[in-house]
Amino acid sequence: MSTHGRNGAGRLAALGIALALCLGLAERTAAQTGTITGSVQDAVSQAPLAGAQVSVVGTSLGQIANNVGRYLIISVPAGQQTVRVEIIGYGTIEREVTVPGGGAVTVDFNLRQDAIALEGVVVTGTAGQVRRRELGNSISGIDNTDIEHTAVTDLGDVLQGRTTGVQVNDHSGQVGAASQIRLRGNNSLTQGNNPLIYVDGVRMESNPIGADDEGAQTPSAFDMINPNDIDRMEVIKGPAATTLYGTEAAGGVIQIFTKRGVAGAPAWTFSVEQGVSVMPHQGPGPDVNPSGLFLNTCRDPNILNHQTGEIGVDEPGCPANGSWFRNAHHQVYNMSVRGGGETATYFVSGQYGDRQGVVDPQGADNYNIRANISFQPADGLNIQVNSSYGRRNITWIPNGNNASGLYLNVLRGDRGYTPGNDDSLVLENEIFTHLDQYVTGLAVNWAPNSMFSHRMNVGIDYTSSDFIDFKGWGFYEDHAGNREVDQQFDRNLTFDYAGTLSYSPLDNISSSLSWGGQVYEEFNYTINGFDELFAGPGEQVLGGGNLPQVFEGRITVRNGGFFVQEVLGLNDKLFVTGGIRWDGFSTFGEGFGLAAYPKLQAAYTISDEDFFPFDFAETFKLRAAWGESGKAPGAFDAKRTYSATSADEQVPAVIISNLGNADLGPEVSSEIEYGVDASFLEGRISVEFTAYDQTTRNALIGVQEAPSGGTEQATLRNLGEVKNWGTETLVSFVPVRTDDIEWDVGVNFTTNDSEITDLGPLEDLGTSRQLGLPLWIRWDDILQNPDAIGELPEWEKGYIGNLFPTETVGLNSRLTLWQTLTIDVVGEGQYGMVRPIGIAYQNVRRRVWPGDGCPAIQDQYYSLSGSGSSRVATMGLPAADIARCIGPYSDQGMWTDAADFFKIRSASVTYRLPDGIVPGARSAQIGLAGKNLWTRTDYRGLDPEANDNGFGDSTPNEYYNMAPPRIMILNLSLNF
Amino acid sequence: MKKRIERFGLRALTVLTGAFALTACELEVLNPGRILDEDLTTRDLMPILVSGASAEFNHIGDLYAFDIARLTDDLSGTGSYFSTGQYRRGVFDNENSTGHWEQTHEAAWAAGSAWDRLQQVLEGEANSFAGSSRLFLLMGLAHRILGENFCEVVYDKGPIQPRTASFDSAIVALNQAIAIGGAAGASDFVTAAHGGIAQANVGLGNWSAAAQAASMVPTDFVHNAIYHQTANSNGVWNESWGRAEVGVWATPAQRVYDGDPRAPYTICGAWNDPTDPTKGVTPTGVCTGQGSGAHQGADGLTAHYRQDKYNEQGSDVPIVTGAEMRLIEAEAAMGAGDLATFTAKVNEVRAFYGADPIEQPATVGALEFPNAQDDAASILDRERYLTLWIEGRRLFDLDRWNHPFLQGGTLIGPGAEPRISCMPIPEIECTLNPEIQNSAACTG
Repeated sequence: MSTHGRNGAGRLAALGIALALCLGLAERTAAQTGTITGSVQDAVSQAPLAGAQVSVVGTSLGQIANNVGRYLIISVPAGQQTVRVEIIGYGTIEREVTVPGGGAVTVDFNLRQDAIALEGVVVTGTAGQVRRRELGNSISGIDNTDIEHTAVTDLGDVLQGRTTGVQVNDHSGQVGAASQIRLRGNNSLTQGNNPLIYVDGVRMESNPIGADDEGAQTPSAFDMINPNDIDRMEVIKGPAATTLYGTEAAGGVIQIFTKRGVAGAPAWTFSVEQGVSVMPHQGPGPDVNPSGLFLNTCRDPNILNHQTGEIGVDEPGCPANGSWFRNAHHQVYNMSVRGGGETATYFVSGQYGDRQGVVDPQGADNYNIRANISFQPADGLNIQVNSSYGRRNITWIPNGNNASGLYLNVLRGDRGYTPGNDDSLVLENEIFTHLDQYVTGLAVNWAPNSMFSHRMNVGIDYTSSDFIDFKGWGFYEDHAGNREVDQQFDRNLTFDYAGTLSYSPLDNISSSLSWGGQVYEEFNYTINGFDELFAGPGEQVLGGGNLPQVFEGRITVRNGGFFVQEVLGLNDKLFVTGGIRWDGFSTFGEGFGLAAYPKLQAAYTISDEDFFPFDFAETFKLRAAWGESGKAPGAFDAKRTYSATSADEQVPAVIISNLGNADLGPEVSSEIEYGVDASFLEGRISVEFTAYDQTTRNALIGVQEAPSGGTEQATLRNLGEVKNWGTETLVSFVPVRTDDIEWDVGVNFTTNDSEITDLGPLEDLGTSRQLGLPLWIRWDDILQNPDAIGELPEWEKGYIGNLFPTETVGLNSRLTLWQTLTIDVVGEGQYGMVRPIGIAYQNVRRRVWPGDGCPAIQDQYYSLSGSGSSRVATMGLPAADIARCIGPYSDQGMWTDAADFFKIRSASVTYRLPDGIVPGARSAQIGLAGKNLWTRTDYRGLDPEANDNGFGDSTPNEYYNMAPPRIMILNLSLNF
Repeated sequence: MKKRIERFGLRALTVLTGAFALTACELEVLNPGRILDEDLTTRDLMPILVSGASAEFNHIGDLYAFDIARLTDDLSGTGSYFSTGQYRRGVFDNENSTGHWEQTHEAAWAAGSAWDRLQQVLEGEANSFAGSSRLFLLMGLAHRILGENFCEVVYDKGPIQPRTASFDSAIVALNQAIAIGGAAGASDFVTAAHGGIAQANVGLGNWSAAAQAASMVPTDFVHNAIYHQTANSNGVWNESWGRAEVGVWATPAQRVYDGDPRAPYTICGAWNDPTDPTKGVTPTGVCTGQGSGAHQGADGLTAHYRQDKYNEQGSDVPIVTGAEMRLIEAEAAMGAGDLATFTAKVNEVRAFYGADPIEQPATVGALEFPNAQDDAASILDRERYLTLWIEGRRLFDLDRWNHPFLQGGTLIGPGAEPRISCMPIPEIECTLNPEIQNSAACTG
């Protein structure tokens, strides 16, 4: 029996076995028993549901559907029986059958996905496996069906638009650039807001890996996971749900569960993806900008050159095809096999991918292998070993805020920095990131009897990054060349134990007492090397030049915590959970001690009560949760430290680095969330609504003494407070459900807002964090006299807008015809945020921005003589026109736009080929998927999601970085 | 079998839980890299502490040189930094001054902290340790820089004081440097301290004391903020050779004093039509080599006239020079109406740099912008401009002379009227110092 046999209902089966033994039931003779067999499959797609648990109600008999969805239960007492089928994510089905003595009955099950699956179990944020009906907090799930129907180029894609409270933004079109993920916005002023990532119970590196430097983007460990390996993902978004993760979990947790083996003969899957990326027209419209800012077309004698105002574009260095873009080829090959016997199962997979970027030579290739093996050496004991290795080689182009970046020089026409405007020279700057990731974990689930269960995870996530930025000897900008090599190694060790004692002190009361502890250790090792002034084109590695420098960093931080939790259930309808976690953390100050994070939850499935009056609502669950979790200070924030440096002519020196704070502790985020989960009309309509309110107290902020007192060094202190609140609404409905047509529609709507309510003695932490305003804002010059004719612009600094969306809308539609053809569309809109358009501002200053009527206004201004103010007076235009278009008077605040957008994130058509059409194949399907096919926005830059600072940054700015291209992917998948 | 597995499992869990508990007790940040406070208690480390104070001071040497150059007529802003566009109009607010205020105070504080530790570790020997003299020199010069550049000053989270308080503090510290340096035989520090006292007395308007201190410094003496191509590169070099954020085009050095050896520059890009900047720039091809490919400013428009005073990444920034001392003596003489001495001192400087001597001017006269160079005041303006070019000194000269450039003086783009002539106390000091929160400097 696989892992699933020990999950939820599996424990019921175990209980059944025990009861059966207690009752002294003896073996029956063959004549008194029969066999039940059949298959379990998805009602819509007819895909086999391997791992579904099939059981005979009231007996200990059960079976796990094998890897082709088949099951066989023998020795079933003859006569009338009820067969129940359960699998995570689907509604439970029960069917009455008559079992013939000495014979067999065939029962096939078609299961439908269930948006409100109260009996489904989850494990993220809980002490053990917990049914959703017991949960007081919301939890979002993504399953492999969603992944199969999504145009996926990196893992972040699968989270876009499908659920509430999850914001995933593509910052760049460079292949390998990570997306930024936020769960319920931001609640930390200084300690980062990336969620924690777990894969099969092992914590992964969730911060940027490697340098962003000349490529202006960073990869992430999250994207190293092969999406085809994923069985499902669970997302818990706030402290009310993440309490048991303790310190570091205030930004939410994403847990990835990879596929498991299932008993049966080897089942093979092969798939091939072939795709192409194309870049649509860039910048202002073709009427004023036919060349797409010289990107789409850099050579064409017949189109307008927006810089010169003449016909004909011929940019030096332009590639042979007349465009900086190419139609970039994607190819991805996947293989997996799973199978096994009663006591051991396996899932093994591999992937090779090669994805070109739209600018030659940008792109990335990857290799992934995985082996997940499960053992069940004895009843109640399940051991899993999950291991994966991934390799990714990324070739970047220099871009972003980079004087030798491609976009910066191309978009500025001949007002860039390349000699003779030959922008191809910048591509001689070779930039690579080579990533290796190894994740392995041992998971032991042990239920020695019906009352006790234990779960233990031990695992390691090891990620290394080798970043190379090389400008060889003879490079135009730095003739003698330079080379930077940054190597980073992150090792994350996880130990996690939880035990649970479940019993029923009274008939209608259940109790589940849990305890456990975790140890997490992060080791970070960096070597940053730099050299320059090479003697010639020969050896150009570190040490081969005349100015080698190297910097080494090694930091190990540890976190140890333990918890207790009690879940009391009344009539299996009302559940109250209380718990507390205590944490020690190596970065806390010596005087701080342990941090305590309490939680309290209640869940009430009121629809199970007899008095519930609404028959049309088959499920109606009320829930509320309150809990806390934290964010730890950095490695040496609590200690007074000095930095070694060089002074004068490379004389050793020490300077103050940090004054230290012995009382430093974590910032603590407290959250209350409440909501309802309901389904109506036999599951054809379901609603999940959650409102949450977070307060982060003792927020960590760097506060210095008044500078006149001496050092400028700020000391991290627990002085701040941030409030963060919002709502999450998810409505799923099935407008059409017939034997041949199933149309599922989902609409999700998320609101999120925040306010910095305390900064200790400070009024701001830089311009983007201001007291009394939302966290992460654009604070810049605002034009005060936009309509004043003939006057110079007058500015005043102020709040322009949020940098993160306050409203997000997701629309999902999946239409399945004749159980073979599926059309899936995911759209997402984000609203309420602004973004500085650095490219427009900087190009206006250089008179190379074709949009917004600026060329004519600039021509007028520069045709006049005299002082600036006299010229402006003569022009007689509103100050807004001057502020927008005339370089000396323009301002980045003028070029900060609302960045609202709606995008078709993914659209796919999948067709399951008729059986037998591929000889030997059990099934086959072909699909065509598109990404970024359509965008609606009034934003005037290249893309409203652009950010040249990489995914770890919370102050996005579009500054000469590549917009995400359109991608089409053709997929053929064969199952044997 | 089942029981055996259960027993094994129970033991395994016990061991692992115990291991967890033990590991959890070792909650320390493992630290092979950071230096802790308790590590700095041995005598051998004291020179390294002094070097640290020097490193702190070096942080401000090129900071002022670069920003003062952008704020004044030393260099024209030709780049794309937002601050450059603002500074070249002569606009500078209480957020812009944060770094200068903080780092200058920290330079003085670091020297004082190091002195405290020297006294603890070296005890009485600290009073005759050359490094101690250097610390007081650094401290005094930091005070002088604060006084020259800030309109008002604050110490130790106290009330607002006139900038003369900084000059007073500078003189106290520099006299201490002289006393200890004399005992330690650190003659260079002593000489530099005399020069610092002369500078501070200029700030106080004590011309006789200034001239007297200046006389202790020979003309060829130079005390620098020290830079190195890898350890701590010169920021002005980075911004004019590494990129073209500032240039000499349209400055007095190019338009009025062209060819003076004290203000060397190279034309990296030539205007296609000097009368029409919109016609673009053509590379001259002479700016090849390390980081100097740019023929036009980082603004993408302006021909790059690259300063060559700091022609290496490790070029030092002069802080005290004998040449400046002669000009202090000249200014003192001019103030006393002694134009013969004035002329002699100026010519001493010019001779030192290989420039032709001047004739004695007929009058003290008044300043103009651009400079007419026909009287003592104008000559002094020119000589200090050229001698102290890009050394972070020009703002104080403009301020104390109420220079006409401050009235909207324009380099490339239009200037504010008036341009700023001293830096305001930064907002962060107002926020964190209750003593001054209601002062006009913070509320006005």
